[in-house]
Amino acid sequence: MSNYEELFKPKEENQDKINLTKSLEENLKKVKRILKGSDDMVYREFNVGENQNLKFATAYAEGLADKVIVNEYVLKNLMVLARMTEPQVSNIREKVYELIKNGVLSVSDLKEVDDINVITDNILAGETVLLIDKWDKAIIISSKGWPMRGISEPQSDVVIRGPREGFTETLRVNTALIRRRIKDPKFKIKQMKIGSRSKTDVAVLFIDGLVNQDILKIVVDRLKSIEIDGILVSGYIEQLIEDNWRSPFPQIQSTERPEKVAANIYEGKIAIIIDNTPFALIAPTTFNSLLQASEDYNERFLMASAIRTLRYISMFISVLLPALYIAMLSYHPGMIPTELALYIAGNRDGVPFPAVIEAFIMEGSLELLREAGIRLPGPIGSTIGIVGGLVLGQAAVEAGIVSSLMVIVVAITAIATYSVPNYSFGSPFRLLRFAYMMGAAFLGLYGVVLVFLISLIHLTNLKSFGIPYLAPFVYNMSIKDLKDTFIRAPLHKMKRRPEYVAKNDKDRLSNHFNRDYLKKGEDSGGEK
Amino acid sequence: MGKNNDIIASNQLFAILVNIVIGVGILTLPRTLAEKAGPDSLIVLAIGSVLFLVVALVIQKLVTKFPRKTIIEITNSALFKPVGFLVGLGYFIYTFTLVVLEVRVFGEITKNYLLVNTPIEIIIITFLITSIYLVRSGIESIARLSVIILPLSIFPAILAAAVAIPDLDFTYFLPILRTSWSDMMKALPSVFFSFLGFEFIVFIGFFVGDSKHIKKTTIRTVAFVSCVYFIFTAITIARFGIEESKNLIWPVISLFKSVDIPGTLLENVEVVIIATWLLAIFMTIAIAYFGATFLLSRLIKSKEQNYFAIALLPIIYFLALIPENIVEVTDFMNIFTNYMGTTFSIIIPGFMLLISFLRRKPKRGIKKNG
Amino acid sequence: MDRKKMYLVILLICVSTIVSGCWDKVEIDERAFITAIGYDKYKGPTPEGAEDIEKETEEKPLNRYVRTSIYPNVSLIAEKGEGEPFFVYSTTSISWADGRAEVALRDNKNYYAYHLKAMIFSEEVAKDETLFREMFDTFQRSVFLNNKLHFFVTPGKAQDILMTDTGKNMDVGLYIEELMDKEVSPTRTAKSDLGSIVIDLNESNAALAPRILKSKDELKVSGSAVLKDNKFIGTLGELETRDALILKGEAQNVDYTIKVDGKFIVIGQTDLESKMKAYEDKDEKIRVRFAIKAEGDIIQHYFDTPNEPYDAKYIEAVNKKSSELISRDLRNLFKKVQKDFGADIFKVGEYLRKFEPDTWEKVKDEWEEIYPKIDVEVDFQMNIRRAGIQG
Repeated sequence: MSNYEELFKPKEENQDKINLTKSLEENLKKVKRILKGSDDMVYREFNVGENQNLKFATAYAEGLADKVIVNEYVLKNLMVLARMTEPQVSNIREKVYELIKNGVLSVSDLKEVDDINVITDNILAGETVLLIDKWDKAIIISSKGWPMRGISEPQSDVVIRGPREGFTETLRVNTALIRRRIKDPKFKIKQMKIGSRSKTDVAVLFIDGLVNQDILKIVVDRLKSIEIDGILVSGYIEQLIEDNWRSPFPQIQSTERPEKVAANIYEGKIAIIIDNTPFALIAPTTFNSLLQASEDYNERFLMASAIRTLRYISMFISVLLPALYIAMLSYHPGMIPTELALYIAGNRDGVPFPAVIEAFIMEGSLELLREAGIRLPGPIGSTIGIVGGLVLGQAAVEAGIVSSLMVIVVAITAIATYSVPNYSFGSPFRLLRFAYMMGAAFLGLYGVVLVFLISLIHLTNLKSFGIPYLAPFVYNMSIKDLKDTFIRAPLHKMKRRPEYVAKNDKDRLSNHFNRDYLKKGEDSGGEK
Repeated sequence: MGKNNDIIASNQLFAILVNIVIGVGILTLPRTLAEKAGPDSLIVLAIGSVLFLVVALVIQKLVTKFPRKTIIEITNSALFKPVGFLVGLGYFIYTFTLVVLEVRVFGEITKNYLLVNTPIEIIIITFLITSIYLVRSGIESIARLSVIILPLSIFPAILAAAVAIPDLDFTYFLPILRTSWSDMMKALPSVFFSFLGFEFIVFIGFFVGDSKHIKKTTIRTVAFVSCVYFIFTAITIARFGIEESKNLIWPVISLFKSVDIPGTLLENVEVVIIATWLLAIFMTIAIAYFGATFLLSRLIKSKEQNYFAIALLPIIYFLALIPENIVEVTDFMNIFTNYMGTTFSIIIPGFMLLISFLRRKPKRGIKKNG
Repeated sequence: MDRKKMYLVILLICVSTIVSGCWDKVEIDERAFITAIGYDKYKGPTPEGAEDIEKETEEKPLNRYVRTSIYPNVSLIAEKGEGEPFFVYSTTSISWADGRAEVALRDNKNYYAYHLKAMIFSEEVAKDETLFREMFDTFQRSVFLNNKLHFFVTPGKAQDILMTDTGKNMDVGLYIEELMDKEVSPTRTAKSDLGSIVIDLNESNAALAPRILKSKDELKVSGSAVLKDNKFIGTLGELETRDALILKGEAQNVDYTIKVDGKFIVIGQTDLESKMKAYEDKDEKIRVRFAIKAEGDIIQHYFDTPNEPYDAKYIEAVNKKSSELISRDLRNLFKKVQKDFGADIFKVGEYLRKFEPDTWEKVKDEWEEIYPKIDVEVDFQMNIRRAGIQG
């Protein structure tokens, strides 16, 4: 049924295969020639055996391979321990490799290879290679071990109630973090290398039987089609495989939280983890899922629903508020309640700029402040806040360059923008805000409606890996679809996975589970 | 047509149809009803809705009978080839004229209520360019957008109208059934024509993937639209009374003008409601526009539907600016709906259905036997 | 390349239209938020000699109105500036638009009437059917006039009313709005909502509009003006207005002063329900019957009369007496409106049309003649529920 294995079959290697010969010296020379100029390589030749007649050589990259493993479990075993056991001379010729592989090296992960290119790739990835004279194969000993950052709390996806673990830069640690949350044999971690020079490990994670095969095919095909020299951060992959590069909206979600990734994998989505990046990518992604925070599922449903609704409202505020301010002030003051309108008019009396320019000045300087605040080191960063918020805002109002209401509008907009849980999802709104402001400046409310329509049309056109970006709003118009949108239904009511992704196994919570059953137990308990 | 981007679900069809039907008609419906049926407006509306349901079912029958076919192919298979072309051409002209008329009415209302000094040319052109974007995005996008826009355009209006409830006086609908039958019969067509747009199903039905649900969708559509009409007619007439409703040109907008939502951030909600109504009229125009280009590309058997959208834009623009004044537009609209509407929503579909029954009958008999 | 050029051209067009566009943009601080407009009849050149030569040359009926409009000083509202609390512009004019144009020539701010709160006609203007209908048509036709505004008729000059300094740092328009919209206000003046006045005029050809008076530096809304056939035909006093509203069942915050056994007793009404019934009796005469039920508290009796009001029989007697007296007053009021004005402000005709369509068919053509002759019967029932906290 599952044909995922086929999907991941590597493409035919273009690189020529260089076979190992039986001569150790020749082999080592070849390796050294390929890795010429890499002074971080360590080669060690040594002899083993009673008569010292077996020639061995190891090679590894310093800093990438764990020296302890190489010294204690490879060299020591071969050089010292091997002598303690008296080998049967008759066997030695034929079985020495078997012996070494199975009996001497006390490391858990060994591979046999016969291609020098593979050997060099592995050395560069931090493995240790053991070459043996008179044998046309080599043993790759897993010895990856470099100093790495420990698991720490995520910086961008902060929650109050929830796990404190975040991804690190090491792929293996990250996959382990997710594996710990999905102990299902059907949970697959398929790895591939992307980047002709960087050879970055990229892992595709999904649950077989749950994942939508069509989407999986699109994801893998797109990943395979990437031909680039190097992948440094997840953004490369994201931008190279997303559907519409013109759109300001991210079509792939990136997160630092393993439990968020796991939750999405359980929904039938696919996660992509890229080595050297503490962010996992989740595809497909919808507008709605970008407004979900992992904490929502940890909260009681009433509170979670309220917060969700608030988030949707704040999204509209962050996009529309300055535009509506312009439209109402410059075009339709009739919409504002009389007393407020008179107050605003009086307050703006003497402000030299039209509302549009005023809004552009303030929104522009807000973005400036924000950019300055991010780039500056921590302690100075907060100074920017003070300068921007207190000094500039206050002074601008007092100088009469902007009206105080504008400052309030800008502040509310900024707060609303930052309440979007996903960082990269906040940026399209910041950008669109200016488009709306232009619309409002040009044609008032009608202009705002036009820009709203254009952005809605764009959103309906947008797809993420074949899934409409605005799912689940665009299908049935039934309340059922809205269970996990601007409300979050009680967990026991969300018995099915989102239908637009999961095509195969739709049940999340057993249909037999219901709250009455819990109550029955309670009653009998009370009688006792 | 490519395999992609041309299948919609019947639920989306519902949204599309409601969006087409609810457009300009709802704004004037209470006035025409009050003029012609007086206190019996609601009864006439109910009867008209039921009658239209019958017509809708006839059209629907035709569409379900020929799944994944447009009216051109249906006619071709029921009659012979050139007739299909002529009928298709007729539908094209019909939808095209509808676009032109609605664009003009939209422009007038926007200019009247939102942008008094802005040239109507600018208003129309910006609107048409935006709708081209949607038309070029294809039917699937239209379907998705319809689903989103439908609640956005209707619920704010219903909420705002609900605020007027304390001021309503439903005795304006008394006495019941005092209007003469002939007057009520005369009022029926106006109800009937407020449902115009539904007949677009004869070519939008082409896109529906699950055509067995179309019947349910038809009933839902007519029921939903008549509910919306009922609510707004009831509230408007109960708010203004018969006489005043007759005087108002856009009684529904005036209804929102008279609404005062206490303690809100907004006064004069009619501006907001017009903004949300713009969404509804946008959908009406864009879908009709799409229909026109789609029919045109089908007629010429061309696949370049997207280019027709741009090619038609200047024509729509200039035609929309021809009528001298708003009265002329409404007069023309009445004539248009009376003749063209009847032809294309009742006569042709009914005729086709009849012919297809006559032609298919022997075949069915064979099938049953076999 | 071609595509890129096309985009560039489109971009240029967009930018140039945006830059040259913004046809309707008027900054909020450049608008004059007109809050009240008053109309007086023009009677020859004003003492200041504000004669308009240009207009005299046009052979048209000239200067029919004196139009006064006011708008508040917004700087004062935002506590930013000082000066007069409001600005008044008065001009002679042929029509609404003419008046607006005349003011626009003098005022540095853009005219904006969406926030118009009050419209005041002097009785002379209201009496003139032509002027009245012209103005009302303008109100109804204009998109940019709010039809939630308050309409008043004043016996004096509208100009004087608008120029009143209320001393509360607000202009008359805002003052009137607060005055009319406040929660607790005695029912001694008619509802001022222009929209409902228009509906009444359309449906029953008669309506009540509130009157506004000026005495020294005070404004007072008092009583009501009876409108019929699209013009002003007479006034009702404060108590008469109250009675009219009781008949319509719209009165709130009413108190009745009744003399029982030589003592003045004041009853505060807490609840009112009025049912009108019109029908044709056997003699083919139209009769109208009001059944009104009121509930109330005794709010004033006579000091040092222990336990007198706290007695069921006594209360019964007061009930009876007050019902009688009030019924009589109400009947008289109805007759006055009926006979003096012939205005169907109680919507008897509308009632017949809705509930007795057969009768209405017979009388509708001669309703103007029949209405003054119909019989009226008022059955007012007072029910005193509480007597305060003193026995």
